[in-house]
Formats: sequence, C-alpha cells, structure tokens
Amino acid sequence: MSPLAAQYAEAFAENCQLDPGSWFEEDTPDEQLVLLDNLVVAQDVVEQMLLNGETCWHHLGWWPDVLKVFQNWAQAGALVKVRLIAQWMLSEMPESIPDLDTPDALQKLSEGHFCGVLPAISSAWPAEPEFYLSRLQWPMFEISEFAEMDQAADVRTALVKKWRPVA
Amino acid sequence: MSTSEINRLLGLLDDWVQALEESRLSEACREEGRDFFRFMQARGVNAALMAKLIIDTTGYNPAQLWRVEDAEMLRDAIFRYAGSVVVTQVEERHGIQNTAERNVRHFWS
Repeated sequence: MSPLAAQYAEAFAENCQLDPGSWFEEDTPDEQLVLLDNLVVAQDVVEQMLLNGETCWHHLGWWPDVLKVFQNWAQAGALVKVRLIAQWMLSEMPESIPDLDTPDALQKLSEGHFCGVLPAISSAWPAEPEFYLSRLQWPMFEISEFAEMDQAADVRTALVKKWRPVA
Repeated sequence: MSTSEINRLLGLLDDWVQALEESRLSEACREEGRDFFRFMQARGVNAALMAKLIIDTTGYNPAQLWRVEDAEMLRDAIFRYAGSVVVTQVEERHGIQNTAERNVRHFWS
C-alpha cells in the first residue's frame, strides 16, 4: 500500500468516528477534540491520489469519494479534467471491483456525459451560456432560451427541470 | 425563484444576527452550529469536510468556535451557519436539489 493509500485509509477511518452532535455539548469528549485537532479529510486525500495517478479500488469508501471529487471539479468547470481522469481510471480498473456501477459511470464521464452520474453539476451556474454550449456534448438549450432567462437562479431551475427526465 | 428572494432572506438573517445581544451570541452560535451539521449531514454532506472548512475559515474547530469570546467572530459564524441552511432550503423549495455541499463551501470559504 502506498503512503497516500495508507493515509486515505486512516483518514477515512477517523472521519467515520467524528460525532458532530458532541461538538455542541458542554462536555465534548477528548477523543473528538483530538480527532478535530488532527483532521484530514478523506476526500482531499482521494483528490491528491487521483492527481498522483494512484487508486484504492477495493476500499469501500474510495469510489463514493472519487465521485465527490469529480463533482467538485465539474462544478468548478474542470470538465476536461474529469473526462481525462475517468479515461485513465477505466484503463487502470481491475476486473473485480466492489461497485458494479463503476465501469458504466466512468464510461459516461470519459465520454463527457455528466448528467446522471453527477446530478448536481446543474448547480455550476452562473457560468456564461457559451460555457455550457461549448463544453456539453448534447444540445441543452438554444441560445434563444438563454436569452429569456435573466437571473442565474432562473437558469439553474430550468437546467434542473430539463435534466430531471434524463437522470 | 429569483436571487432577490435569497438576498432578502439573507438580509433578514443579517438583521437578526446583528441585533442579538452579546450575552446570547455563544448560545446562538452553538444552536445554529448544531442545526447546521444536522441539516447538512441529512443531505449527505460530509462532517469532516464541513469541519475542515470551518477550521480553515476561522482558525477554530466547530467545538471551539461557539466558545470563543469574540462577538464579531460569533456573529460571523452564526450568519455562515444559518445562511448556508437558508439558501439550501429556498433552493429545495423551488425544486433545486443537491446544492447543500456547494452552499456549505460558499459560506465557509
């Protein structure tokens, strides 16, 4: 196991021990304070691993954390990065993995079909309409439709409604 | 929904926070923090992630934050806790889902 993989396993185990309810009690247990003092977010370690070309397929927390990292990248507009990392993960994927939906999800992401895999990407607004028209592979809206939506929130709502049947 | 609805509610929230008596700030921060974690965890937002954002933003972890004796910091924390919840609630009321983590990041960064 690589040092980063070991760090991920440790961070994941410690993150699971966190008890937020106790943080707001008068007598917060010392163990919780120690965990907070030494907090490493497992998701952050996953991001580092992906960027370093490392995987941890057989850890049960790995794939859900990968999806969260992808979602953050997508919301930040780094759609090409999501596609490239997904392609690389497909090439590195072992035959036996815990989550049977993983290959299909990676295939969709690598091809740029983000909806259904990353439903919250619709909250990436407010980027300019041209961002979506140029980066998404399917025709989401016509230019004339964008012109009718002045408010960012209106666009978010329209995106969600339009995506719902697809997802 | 329009952004003005969110801005109006955040304005009301800010008025409430600014009007809180100093003697109430610690308890209000404690209550809002507890509600914030419950609300966000129910929507799948990772507690470790939220705690780290709070530490990075304030220098204090969530168990320490409501105990600090700094009125400005307490008011700021109350607004960030409650604001991220309010915005998420408004969006959910209008059928926009899965924005909880984005709102946590927005208010705690």
